Amino acid sequence: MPDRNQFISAIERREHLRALGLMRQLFNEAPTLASAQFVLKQAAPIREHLALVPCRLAILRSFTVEPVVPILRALALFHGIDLIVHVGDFNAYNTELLDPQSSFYGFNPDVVILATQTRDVLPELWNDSAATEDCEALAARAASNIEHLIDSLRSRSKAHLILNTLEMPNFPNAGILDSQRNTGQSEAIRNVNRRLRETAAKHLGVYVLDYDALIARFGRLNWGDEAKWLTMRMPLGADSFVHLAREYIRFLLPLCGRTCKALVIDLDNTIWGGVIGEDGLDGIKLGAEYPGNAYLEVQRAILDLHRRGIILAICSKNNPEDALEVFNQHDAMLLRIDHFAATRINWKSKPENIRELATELNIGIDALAFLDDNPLEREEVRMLLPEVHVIDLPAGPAHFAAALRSTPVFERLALSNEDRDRGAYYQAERQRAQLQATGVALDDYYRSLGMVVEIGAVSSRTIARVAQLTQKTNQFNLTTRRYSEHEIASKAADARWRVDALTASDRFGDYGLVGVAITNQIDDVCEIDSFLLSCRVIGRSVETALLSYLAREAASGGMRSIRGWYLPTRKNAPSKDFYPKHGFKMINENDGKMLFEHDLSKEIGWPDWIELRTESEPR
Amino acid sequence: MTNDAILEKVRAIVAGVSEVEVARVTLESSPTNLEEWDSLAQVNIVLSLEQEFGHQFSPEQIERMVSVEKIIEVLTARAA
Repeated sequence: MPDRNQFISAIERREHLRALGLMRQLFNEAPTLASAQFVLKQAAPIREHLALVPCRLAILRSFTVEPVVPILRALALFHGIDLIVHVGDFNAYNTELLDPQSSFYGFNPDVVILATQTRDVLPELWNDSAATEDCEALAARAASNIEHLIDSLRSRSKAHLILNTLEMPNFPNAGILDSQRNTGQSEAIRNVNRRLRETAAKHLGVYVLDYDALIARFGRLNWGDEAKWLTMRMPLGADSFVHLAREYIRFLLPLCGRTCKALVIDLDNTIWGGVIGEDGLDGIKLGAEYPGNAYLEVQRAILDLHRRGIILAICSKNNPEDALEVFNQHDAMLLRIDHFAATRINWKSKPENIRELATELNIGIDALAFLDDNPLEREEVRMLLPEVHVIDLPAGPAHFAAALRSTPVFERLALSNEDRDRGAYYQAERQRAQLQATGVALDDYYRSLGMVVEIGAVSSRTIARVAQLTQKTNQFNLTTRRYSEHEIASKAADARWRVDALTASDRFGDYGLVGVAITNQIDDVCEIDSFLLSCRVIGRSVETALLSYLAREAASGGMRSIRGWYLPTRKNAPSKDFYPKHGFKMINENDGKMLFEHDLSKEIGWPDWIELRTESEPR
Repeated sequence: MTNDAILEKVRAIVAGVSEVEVARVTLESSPTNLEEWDSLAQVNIVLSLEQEFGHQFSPEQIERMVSVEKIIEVLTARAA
């Protein structure tokens, strides 16, 4: 268990990430307002060393939310986000959203949370259900008010907006009678919430936080505190603010690109009970009875993450044949070996194996989460690989699944087809690796893949994935400009701009939508604003194909030259030589940023082993 | 917990929430003589005390907690 001295000495040794990890552990042991304030104070001097992503969050509210702010800022810090928070005036969210001169618009937020509660939004429904008008009319009125606020926000800001659902009363005004009719208080609230969800779904970048479900999860009677409401107008109990902050974090991580892409799991005593090497196939615990059923729940939770597009990998100290026997022979196993994109089943240290897994999967170490029942293994990974998100597990397996499900680093705000198909993609990738390992020449290897790409303008069907790629792609990304769906849509609608999306497939399977190029026509110059490729296809000359396509399109549009910046980040070194390798000349250099240009009278060669297919589906 | 220990905890919480040095917080400190102790700090002080002492205050107790001294009165009366 960490103590404050350990943490102070980590700071002295300048191990800043390690210090941050220890602070996270300290906070989780006593998740209170005072702990959050302690964390923020201690972290102040090391903030600059943590490569934090800044995020400006405005909380517009109908009730006292201030105690959530230090807790939220501390949690954000643990996930690498420097959160700057603006809290709107008390119950002034309507005017703040409608008035272009409000201090809220002056703050220029990236994310807006509208923190409301039923008694403020629809007091007539909360206080006096007998006088309630027709449920449908009430819901329509509430939805149209929200619609109005969204429109106002959208005309002035690109910020993401998070809306609360209305919460149910602890005790409906009509008692159990409320459930017997479809005009009761609860039904009216359900109606409003349904309309709210429909309204949000119509707008890009507007999301719903199920506030009622959040309250229910922790217990309606424990959520609020009537004593503080009546004396200080504060409706929430002390612990509820911690739960609220954690729920906000679930949204902020995907919005700030601070999620994990892969989950690395241990095997013995993590996804089955016992040690396969000692207990044998018949001795391990997995099945309908406790503790076997607890491990089944863990496997279900892992499978759900797989379906959400999280890459799975194994890191286990075992003889490989023992571990594989469980996957192949045990009837109760839900996870199959082909759910995993990579495995390290050996006797090497876990940090060493995890480092190799990151390389094999071609993702950053900070995009990995680690699940292991053994506190010593977790501690070793925390010490040696502080970038990895180590999932805290309680002592017994009964609560493992819940711990995994409550981990915020796997949250996604939208699911693309690529997310759903990621498992199949990694299976195909292993077959490709086998082909390459047979030792064929590179050109022959490319040719044997039978690669087909489709390039076309972004459409309503592809916009979510395009925005997602701009937010998540780090390595092959020339400018690393992050765009929301809303920003992509406005660029696509502008005649001077083009947003092209590339999908690829080969004989082993589909890669999905893996490339994006955003260009901007300035007189007779085509300027490449963004050019990026998912790490899945790097090194298969798809990047050359996309660049060749852009050049050809620009030339046929009458443009004289094509140019683009390389803006260095901590992670995009793999794209540094991209333009010069394709014959571009450097025409400007400033502080590592380089501008390259290519004369369009010369073509950029199309790799002849890639087939270009024009769009088969209408936009 | 001794009275001195309670006093130290309360001073630390009031100082932490109001963002002032602990030395500036005394038994006599209250919203009238400590500028940083505003109504929002009051909310946070009550919440932090509840978490620190594992006790949920009644409305009457919350209304009495208007200085360090009064807070300690409420906390010791709770223990009795």
